[in-house]
Amino acid sequence: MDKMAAFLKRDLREMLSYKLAFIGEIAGIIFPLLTFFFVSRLIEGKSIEQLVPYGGSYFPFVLVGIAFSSYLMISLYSFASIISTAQTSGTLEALLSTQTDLPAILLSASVFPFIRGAVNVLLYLAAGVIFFKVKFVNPNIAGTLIITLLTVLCFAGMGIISASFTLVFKKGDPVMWLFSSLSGLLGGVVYPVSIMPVWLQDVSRWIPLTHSLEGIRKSLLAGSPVSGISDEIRILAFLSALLLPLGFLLFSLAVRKAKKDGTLTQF
Amino acid sequence: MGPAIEISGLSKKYPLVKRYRDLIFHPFLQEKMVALEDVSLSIGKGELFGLLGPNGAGKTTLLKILATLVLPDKGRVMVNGYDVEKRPAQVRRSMGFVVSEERSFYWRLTGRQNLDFFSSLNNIGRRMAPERIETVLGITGLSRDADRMFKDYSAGMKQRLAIARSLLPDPEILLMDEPTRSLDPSAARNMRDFVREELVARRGKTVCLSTHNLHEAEEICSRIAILHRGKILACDKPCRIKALIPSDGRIEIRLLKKGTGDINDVKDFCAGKGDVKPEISENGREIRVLAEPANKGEGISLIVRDFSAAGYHVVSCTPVEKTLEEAFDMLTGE
Repeated sequence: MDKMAAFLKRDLREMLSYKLAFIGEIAGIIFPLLTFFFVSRLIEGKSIEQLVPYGGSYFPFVLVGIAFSSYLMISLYSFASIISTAQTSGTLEALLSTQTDLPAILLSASVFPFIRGAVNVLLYLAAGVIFFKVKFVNPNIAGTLIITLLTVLCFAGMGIISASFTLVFKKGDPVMWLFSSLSGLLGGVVYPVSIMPVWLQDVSRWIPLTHSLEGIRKSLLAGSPVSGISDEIRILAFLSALLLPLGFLLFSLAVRKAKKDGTLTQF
Repeated sequence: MGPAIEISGLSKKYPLVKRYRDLIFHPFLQEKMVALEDVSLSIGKGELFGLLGPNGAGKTTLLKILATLVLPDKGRVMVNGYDVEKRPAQVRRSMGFVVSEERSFYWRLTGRQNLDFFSSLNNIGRRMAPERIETVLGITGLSRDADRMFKDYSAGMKQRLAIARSLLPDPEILLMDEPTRSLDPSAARNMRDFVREELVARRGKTVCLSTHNLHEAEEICSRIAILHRGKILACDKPCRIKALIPSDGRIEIRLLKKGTGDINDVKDFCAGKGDVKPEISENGREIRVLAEPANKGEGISLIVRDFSAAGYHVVSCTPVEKTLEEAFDMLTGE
């Protein structure tokens, strides 16, 4: 816990020292929402069949999609980003010379991005409610949290696999590229999966983000009980159980390979 | 009492990055570059040991293996009695690796905040940390500047903070990779004094430092190892390494001036001697003559006798010692 607190304090101090970037981040939340708000006005009043399971309105649908996908992507990006940032900034060698192992460094350093991401989700939702008059009727908060937690674990597994690639190959990580591109395209972030051709819908079922957003939207926008999202919970639990241990195994192999090749701190 | 560091038969090769052509035509062929070859050495507790060698000699690789950042291919490396491969956590507890790279700090944090962060990673509890930080700041003379942002530190202060960071867990062994590399001559001299007097003499730390500065190695290290292309060419006290190369027969004669005479008298006097090729310098009243007598034993006696007969007082007459640089050049063949 001490180490997590130390990383948290370090990151917070660094973030606050870059004042303009902090303001920019807030603007980065508002502008995409505005874009989709205007898009949603284009289709206002039209009944869209594919949106019915999520309450029928487009803007709440896309708000939840953007807010949660950005958070879930943090799980994917943050681990590899921690490694590559420490490599390029030159701090990795000093970190590894301490009495803390690399996996512990990785996990402790990821706390801040996750907290920051959670704050961003709340800001997204708050902006939606305050500025764009989105209403969440009977949201199932527990269901939302269960799905979010499972997705974070599942994506963290992928993220740690991605960090393993970064350790060994430095750049050109195929996991990150494939996973983030397909998730953005097929995961149902800004349009419902059911709008795509059937064969693409079949492909999208292999993407964890599809199930995450489906479960979160059902919980948050349609107020489904936990039993209504049990399929999503089962799939995400299975993927987490598979990907997390695999991630840790690959990461320990990658650390050994990088130490053997003498490239641990190179980039 | 066992040695602080013991290395036997250590070898390390790095795989070379393949070209696109090799990836296609020789996908399974892996070319390697030798970084260390059959290195063996032992460093005693409380010793100030220098790894001396040109760039690419293998100094940093050796230090990184000791710091558990690189794994050896062959051989056994023990730090404070722990094997670097089998007990890396204990090794890191025993030693502090002074990462001299100034980018290894967080520039927008103060010196104290940086140390606070690294103290947590070194398992120093929240209660103990402030006191320990104050101690290492005191040792490195940074107490007054502790609350300045790291970006505003001078190169010497950054280097001192790197040492302060490595001292946080109070390790017995310190590894330093070219600690004076980015320092001006004055700061480098201060750093050398600090390492020798404060860290080794006063606090009893074992210091293993790498350098390509021959003067620095000779000045502060009790023993040095000359590394060249991954091999240890010599490992001993600097004076013994210098003695490895044969004398070229030159002798240094120190004279005191005759009452009113000056250096020109000596020059005139030497001009008449065929076997004296003098390099004369004057230091106050004392005149230093470097002579290269053709006949070693008798030649020296004759030169000394002639100077005495001419009224000079011969203070000393010693063979000219080879410099470490000459020994280094001879050993490395450069």
